[in-house]
Amino acid sequence: MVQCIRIDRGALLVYLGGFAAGCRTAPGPVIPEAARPVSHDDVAAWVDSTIPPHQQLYRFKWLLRDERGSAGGRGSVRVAPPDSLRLDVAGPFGSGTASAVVVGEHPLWTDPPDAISRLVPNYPLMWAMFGITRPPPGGVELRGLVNGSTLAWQYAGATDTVEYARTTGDSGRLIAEVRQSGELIGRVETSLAPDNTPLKARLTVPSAPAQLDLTFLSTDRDSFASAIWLPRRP
Amino acid sequence: MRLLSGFLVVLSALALAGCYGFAGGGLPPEINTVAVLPFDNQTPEPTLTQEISRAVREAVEQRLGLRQATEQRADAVVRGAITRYEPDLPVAYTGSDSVVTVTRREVQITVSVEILDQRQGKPLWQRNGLTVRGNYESGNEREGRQRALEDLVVNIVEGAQSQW
Repeated sequence: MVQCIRIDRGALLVYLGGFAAGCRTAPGPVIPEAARPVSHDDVAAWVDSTIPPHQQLYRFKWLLRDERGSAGGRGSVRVAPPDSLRLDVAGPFGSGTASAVVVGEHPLWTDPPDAISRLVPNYPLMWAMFGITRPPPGGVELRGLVNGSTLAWQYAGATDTVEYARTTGDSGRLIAEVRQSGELIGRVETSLAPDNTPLKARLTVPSAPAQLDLTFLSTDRDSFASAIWLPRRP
Repeated sequence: MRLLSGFLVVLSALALAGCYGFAGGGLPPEINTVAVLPFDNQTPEPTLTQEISRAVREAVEQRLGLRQATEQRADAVVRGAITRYEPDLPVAYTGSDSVVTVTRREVQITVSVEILDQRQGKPLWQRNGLTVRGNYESGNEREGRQRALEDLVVNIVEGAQSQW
């Protein structure tokens, strides 16, 4: 039996257009060509401007999509400036939880051991999802540019390159991109409220390929009990 | 005089019956010690584990009159899981059609709890999906959480007593 499917030309064009947009190659560069070498002090000031002035508790929904499917749940992160956080995520219907305490780019503990690596491939990318940038490691070249309300800067090391672009104002945004030996590890785009707290964040990992979306539900100024820095299971 | 004595006898009997009735509630008399095990926290709210343990301990030690013991020696163990935490469900609003302000919110905590008789190997009381609530003025989640934990204590005490 022959099956005939009638396709509306207009709909086909829209569909093909959408498909082409979805298959678009990597988004544009984070750092403009015009970026110039900048001082360590400049970069330190830019980084500081992304760090919350006091302890913050962010609660969010997360959705991870990859080729196998998607999974989502709830999460919370407690940020203790300048460089510490506790992350907790839970899957739906008690399907599992993961927690970690991270200081800078080093985990103090993670439970389970792959709690962070299952979600994000790199610590600067993880911090960027909460609207926070990391200071440069030693021995890297620094470049940057200030253009109106946009700051863009780059740390270029022997193998790793970290780039940030941050726009302030009513519709603030932070973009972070990390490359290793030229290969794109991941890119984060975080939209920010005028007080720099995160509203939404998207991590794209092209190698997987995978996408992690965070939708922030609430932001609370908080003072944390010291017990939160201890592992869940002693 | 005789009438008064009779009245006092009846009154004493009623009082004793009342006391007996009260003592008869709660856990079986052979259950004197308890171990509260850390709840499996399936929520992204790390501080809940400790707060729930504290509330459960208060329920079984102060309200049900049990003594704390190690898991190996305890007559009973309390164990469970925290399966859901909703920190800020809106419950009261003010405002007009265009601007609505949430004035009160509610914390909801859902837990599964079991009090297990270790010697008999049987549950003395259990509740799955027990949701406790505490409402609070917007911006004061701690108050709501405290109320929800008090609700949990009441539920455990009433639940355990109603079994016997």
